[in-house]
Amino acid sequence: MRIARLQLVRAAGFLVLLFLSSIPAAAQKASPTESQVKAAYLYNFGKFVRWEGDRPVNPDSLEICVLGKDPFGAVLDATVEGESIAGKKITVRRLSTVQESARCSILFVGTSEESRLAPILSVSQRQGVLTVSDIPHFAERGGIIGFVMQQDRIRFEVNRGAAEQSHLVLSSELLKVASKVIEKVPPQT
Amino acid sequence: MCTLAFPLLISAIPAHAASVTQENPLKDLTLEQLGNVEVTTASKEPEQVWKTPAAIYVLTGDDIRRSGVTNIPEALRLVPGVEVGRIESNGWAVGIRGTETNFSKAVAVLIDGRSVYTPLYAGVYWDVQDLVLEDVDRIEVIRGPGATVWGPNSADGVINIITKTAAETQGAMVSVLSGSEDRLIAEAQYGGSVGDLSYRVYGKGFIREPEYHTNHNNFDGWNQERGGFRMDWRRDTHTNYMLEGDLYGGTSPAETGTASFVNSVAGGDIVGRWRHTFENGSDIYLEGYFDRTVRSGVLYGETRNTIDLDFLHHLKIAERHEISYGFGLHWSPNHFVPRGVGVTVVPNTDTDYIHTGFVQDEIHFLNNKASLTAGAKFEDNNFSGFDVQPTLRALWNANPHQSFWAAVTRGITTPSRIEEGFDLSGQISVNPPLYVAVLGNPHFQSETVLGYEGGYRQLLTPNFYIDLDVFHNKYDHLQSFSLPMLIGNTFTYFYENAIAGSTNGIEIAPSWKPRPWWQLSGSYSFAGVDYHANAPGSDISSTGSVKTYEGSSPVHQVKIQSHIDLGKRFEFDQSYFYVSALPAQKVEAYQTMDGRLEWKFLKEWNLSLVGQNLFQPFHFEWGTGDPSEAAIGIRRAVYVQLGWKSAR
Repeated sequence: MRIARLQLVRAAGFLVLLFLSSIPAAAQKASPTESQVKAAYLYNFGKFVRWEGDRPVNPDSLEICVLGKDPFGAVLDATVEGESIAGKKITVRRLSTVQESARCSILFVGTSEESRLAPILSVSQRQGVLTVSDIPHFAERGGIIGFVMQQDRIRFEVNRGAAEQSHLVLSSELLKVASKVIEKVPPQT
Repeated sequence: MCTLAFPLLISAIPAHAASVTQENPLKDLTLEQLGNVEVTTASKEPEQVWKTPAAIYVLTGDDIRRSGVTNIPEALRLVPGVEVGRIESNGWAVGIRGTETNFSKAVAVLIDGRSVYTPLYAGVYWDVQDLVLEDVDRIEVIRGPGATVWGPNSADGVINIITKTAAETQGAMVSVLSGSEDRLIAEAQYGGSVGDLSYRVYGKGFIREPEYHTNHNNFDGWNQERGGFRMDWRRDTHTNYMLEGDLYGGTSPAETGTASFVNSVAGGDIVGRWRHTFENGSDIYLEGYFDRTVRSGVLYGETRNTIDLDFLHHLKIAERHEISYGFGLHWSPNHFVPRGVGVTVVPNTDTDYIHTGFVQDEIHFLNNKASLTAGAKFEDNNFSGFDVQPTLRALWNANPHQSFWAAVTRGITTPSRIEEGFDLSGQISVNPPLYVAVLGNPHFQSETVLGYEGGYRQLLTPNFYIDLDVFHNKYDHLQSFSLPMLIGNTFTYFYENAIAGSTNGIEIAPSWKPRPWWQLSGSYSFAGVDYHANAPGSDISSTGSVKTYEGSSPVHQVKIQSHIDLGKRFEFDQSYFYVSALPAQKVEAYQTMDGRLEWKFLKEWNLSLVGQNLFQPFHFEWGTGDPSEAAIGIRRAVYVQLGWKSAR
């Protein structure tokens, strides 16, 4: 009993010191937010994907579109500001229906659209768009890249079958870093 | 593990702040680096906790895994305000907020919506509630009279054990554990999928050693085997089906006086569930199950079948109102087989039923920052007839990181077969012939509680969260025993409802992450109990008297857990407990500690070393209620576990 009490006092003392030492530090740098990480991913994905097939896109710009409720706000615009991929300037556009996504290269599907997922995916597949989302099990359900949370970190799963259906080639760099690669080909509609 | 691009220090910027700097410092990171950035989410607790006007605590699968516990009642020890005392190797006394008894009487315990409460003695047979702990997604504990939507017998709280979907447990898993107390626990599981249908099947067996006996009567070693499955079918984005089933068999020893017996237990269950979300956002839930338990021992046997159907419809009306309504039908035909001398339940064969209906309206206002909930549960059962349990709750989300709530609820506890129909008699003298009997009371009433509660939650910094709850519960018609009455040549004690009183308390539960690799959480709880008898009574058992009610729950409890990640491969975890004395159980205050070290290697393997109850060679957590039975000490123990999980 006596030894236990001594250990407890020691442990408590250590904790107090730790707490006190972290307080001034608390005033400093901000922890990165989910939006910042996901926006950085969206920007980066463009470097690791090749769009094959005929697409009616603007040859000078690569459009990242956001469908539904926008979780990024100014963060996404700030991320792509002044950046370009393969000589194409990156622009951001917000959509309210998937039909408007014909000119998009990357489509981020907001969680507000979960109940309309099947029709959204079949339209974007036909249009050859890279679909990305944080809707749960997005890649399993036919999306191309789905974000997943793993122990406070944001990782992503890739559905290679869906990418093929959309005439997209995913670089091996991307596949290597993905936390899961699914081969499932989504049903044809 | 920490290949971060910049230091992770603390600040209070919420995740979706409008005034974000115009630069995104992360855009130049590689994909691999992005995958290592730790983010803070706006709230450390799941969404449902912030918006719930009740004292809810969520024990995650990871909390359970890292605590090193090998069964469900031990996992419940970690929850603030929950009192767990291990009686023997195969028995636990579990209570919430000053109601600890070896019957776990008015706590509704559910596994995936299936109630594991037995109306035989109004409690839970913890020795047969088991599963592969890795399959537990979370355990949600609500302290205080259960909110309207929870089923019957939740007057003291609800413990809801939720398992992972089959889609979340894919691949093969094998685990073998061996130690001084848990001699052997072996588990094997496989999960696969066919299109949108995923499944898992498992098998588990264990052998557990006796605890410490001062009289060296080591009767409580026991073993059990079980197997089962779960299937989930996601038909489309709106519809989910679930089917699961289990079968088990084993032994469960018991002690009465100076004699000990080995009972055998067996049973199984099958549960089916349908969930559907409509276009307009409303959702429907329908669950049915069949459960069979067979207990067979030297003193008595019981066979009980349970058929249950539960329905819930949840819809939004007029933008502000969230209405939930539903019903539950619960039938439990049972057969009691008296075997030992003088113990029976009258009548032997009966069907216990509980019909419940409920309706609840949650009104949102102040731009969805506040809500007021009014609801009522209507119950009709074969013991005490019809009853109404209303509740009124309010919640205010002062800002996204702070919420206050308050509630007033009336709850009842349905009488049990024992309280109504028990018949225990024995001879106390031959010359002259005199007998003693303890009899159930067919007019036994429901115990009632009126609970006043409130709470406060705040995320003080992204890494420090605090939850504070207070309560005042007024009890009435609590079970008591009458004075002995001489009827013929038999001294007779009857079950009565003559005790009333109140419990008051507070629970403070902080959660703090001082470093990205170090999570600390814990709680301090105080539960003061004050009971009185409205009629003279007798103190003849481990429960049912003012003295036993007041002295069987710890007034103070302290719980602390520490989880440390040492690099990518090692985990070092500790739990510390302090429980104050239980005078009616003749148990002194004790403190103890568990420690765990895990090593992950070769991608698919893990090896853990766990020490439990380390401070003393043994300590007592509960009495036996019978002076002729020696108290059972819970021993210091150690085990090693080796596990393999196929890469998925």
